[in-house]
Amino acid sequence: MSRAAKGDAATVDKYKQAFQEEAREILVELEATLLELNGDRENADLVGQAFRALHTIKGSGAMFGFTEVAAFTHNVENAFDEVRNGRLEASEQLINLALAALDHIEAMLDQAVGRGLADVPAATKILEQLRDLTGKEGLGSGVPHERRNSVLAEIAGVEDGKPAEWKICFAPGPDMMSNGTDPLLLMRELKQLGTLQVTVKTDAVPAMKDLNPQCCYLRWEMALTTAATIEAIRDVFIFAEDACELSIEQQGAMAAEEVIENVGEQPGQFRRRAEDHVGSASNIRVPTVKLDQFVDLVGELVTVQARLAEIASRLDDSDVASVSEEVERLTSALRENSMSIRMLPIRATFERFRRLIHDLAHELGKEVELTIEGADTELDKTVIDQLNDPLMHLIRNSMDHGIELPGERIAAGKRATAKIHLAARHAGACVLISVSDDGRGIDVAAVRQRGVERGLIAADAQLEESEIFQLIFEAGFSTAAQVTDLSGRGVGMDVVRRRVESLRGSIDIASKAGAGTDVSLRLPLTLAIIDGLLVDVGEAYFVLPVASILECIELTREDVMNANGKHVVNVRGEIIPYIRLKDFFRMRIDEREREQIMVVATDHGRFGFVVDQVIGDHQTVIKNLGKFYRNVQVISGATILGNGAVALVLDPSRLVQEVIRSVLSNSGLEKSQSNPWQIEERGTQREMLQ
Amino acid sequence: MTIHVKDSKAGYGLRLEGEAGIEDAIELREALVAGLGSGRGLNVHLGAMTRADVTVLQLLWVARREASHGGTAFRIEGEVRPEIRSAFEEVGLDTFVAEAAHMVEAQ
Repeated sequence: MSRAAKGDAATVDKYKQAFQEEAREILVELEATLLELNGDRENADLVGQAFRALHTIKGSGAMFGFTEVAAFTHNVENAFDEVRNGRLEASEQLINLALAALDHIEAMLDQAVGRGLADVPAATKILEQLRDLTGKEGLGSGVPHERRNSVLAEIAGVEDGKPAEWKICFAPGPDMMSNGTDPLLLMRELKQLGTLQVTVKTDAVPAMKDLNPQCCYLRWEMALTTAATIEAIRDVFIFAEDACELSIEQQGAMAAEEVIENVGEQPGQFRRRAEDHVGSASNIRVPTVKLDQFVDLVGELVTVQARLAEIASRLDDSDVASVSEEVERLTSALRENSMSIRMLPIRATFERFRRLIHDLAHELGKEVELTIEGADTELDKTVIDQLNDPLMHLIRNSMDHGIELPGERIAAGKRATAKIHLAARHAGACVLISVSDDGRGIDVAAVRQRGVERGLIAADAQLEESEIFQLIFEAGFSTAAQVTDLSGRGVGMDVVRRRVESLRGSIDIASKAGAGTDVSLRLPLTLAIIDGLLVDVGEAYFVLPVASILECIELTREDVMNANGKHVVNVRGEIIPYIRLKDFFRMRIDEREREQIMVVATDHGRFGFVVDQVIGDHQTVIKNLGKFYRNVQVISGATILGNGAVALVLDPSRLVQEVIRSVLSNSGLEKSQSNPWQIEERGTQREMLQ
Repeated sequence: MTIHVKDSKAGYGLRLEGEAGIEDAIELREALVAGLGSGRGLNVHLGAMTRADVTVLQLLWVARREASHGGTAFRIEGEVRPEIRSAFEEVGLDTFVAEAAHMVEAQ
């Protein structure tokens, strides 16, 4: 029995967790709706959307035991009901109150899972203000229990009025049981709404030998007599909708008008929608931990496949070779498929900043409009998860320092309303994300002056503008005369750079005084498995990302002699500097007659990496090097080859950056020895000697 | 759930003990198939089963149907707990327990 109790508790927990997840998703959508409504106050569709979202949170909250969430949401929903019925205006005050209410609902959800405490006095204040706006008594803690309980009963789905009879046809899909939804529990929930008569259809149940025991083949027709709304009935199936065929029809004389008014759609429409779900590719919710395990396993498979390919190449057996090729093809397809599962559009991350900008604009007395471009651009979930904080820092900086007050903007001949533009686009194996504004831009002279004061650069250093902007990313760097709550302490931009670099990305700033600033982040599409090119140097193996390789050319002794000892090569008239990996990694191996130069595009321009030979394409499962090597920036990770050897995965841009840094710091040495690339001390600008 | 099997001249006996859910469905089907194939009638003891989901209810119902079609005896043994009886009723298989008992009498 204790096991039974434990089982029931586990089921309830699972539903509660599902509610938490759904409610948080609805809150994100609701926030976007409210912010859109703020710019389009007469839009009845948006009001309806906001109302329905609140109604769902309230109804589901009550159903799953989140009564406080339900009671609180009821008040906000009431206000939007008034707006829907033309009795209240969708004012800025109401929208701001609703936004504050969303924060409180989220805090209540957090509190329910033991994360922090909801601010009760703040909630009381929200309720008081809502009461003042609507003229209706709220459902706060001061309300008598009787009244509160009656409203909560109503929230649970039973509304005043005559009971109606509903016909519910319900056929679970093949995956419904394995997704954790038991029709038995749904029927128990339906029973709570009124009187339920259940007729089971068994004609689709196959013989025992043909039956998948984990599938439900039973179908049901149910007659439900209830005063609940169609939405309350539908809410019973809220977590099963995608995995079943469902129709809900009101029987007898049609109270359709009432239904339409209540939920904004006819029963028939709902039926079609449920059928659409069945007909189209349905979605399932998968815990991210399972997804990570799946990708890890694919990674292991890729490694094993490499071993198989290696063995097949040694055996000289055409059958084994054929199987090996087939496994390679399938593994490659599986790898791409698993990677695509991890890809998410950046839309949700971008949209989240609407609220931040709205609140900051209000706080700072600025007028700011957010525009978004490329929201459907997809990135690995791990990268997206890490992006929120850097983008928030950048937007805060922009709002605080970049964007001027409306008066200043008008005086400067600009629109009073400033613009912040978030954009994302693919560029090869990378994604470019930019945060730009049309504010006052960065004062290059002030940044330079601060750099000199802090000893970061010499007073007479010749730096390009882009190099001066890089000083902003130094720890503790700030030119702000005034430290505000938002920024100006110099804390943040160095964190932004560190976070972006930890994702194997890079960051650049472009700015024009009076016109605005553009901060660009270049990030890899994925962190787990990449297409690599395997090369060797002596007995060591290295992998370079294919996406960054432009071409491969041969380097002979003669080429080296012709360059007069300089590490440069002439590629169809273009002089390209190169780095010998054996020198960089201080490997003691003999000079070869012929070597290969991999010409690679880096953040610092085209560079060549000299290797002994190119082995070929390699699906590279990137493994972390571990804590001991975490500060080795030039190496992204390591991978295991088919023969069991380990290959280091190089980060070309970092490697070039490291070479440049080491050249600049060795200025006291003989120039020809320390600086064969002729990198001048003014940074990345290179001048080739011929 | 634990499935205890007792194969004797009196019939093929299955005793289902504890909570039965989708995770037990494959094992239960195998046991039911073995019982139905024994040719000596299938006795399912439900007295110690404390919970059943729809997959389990469905399997028991199919076993009874196959026994009926094949002329094999199918008997429910033990005092079926109210929560299990209620589960059959709630999904519309309310006649299952009674009909299973009736089938035995008719054999």
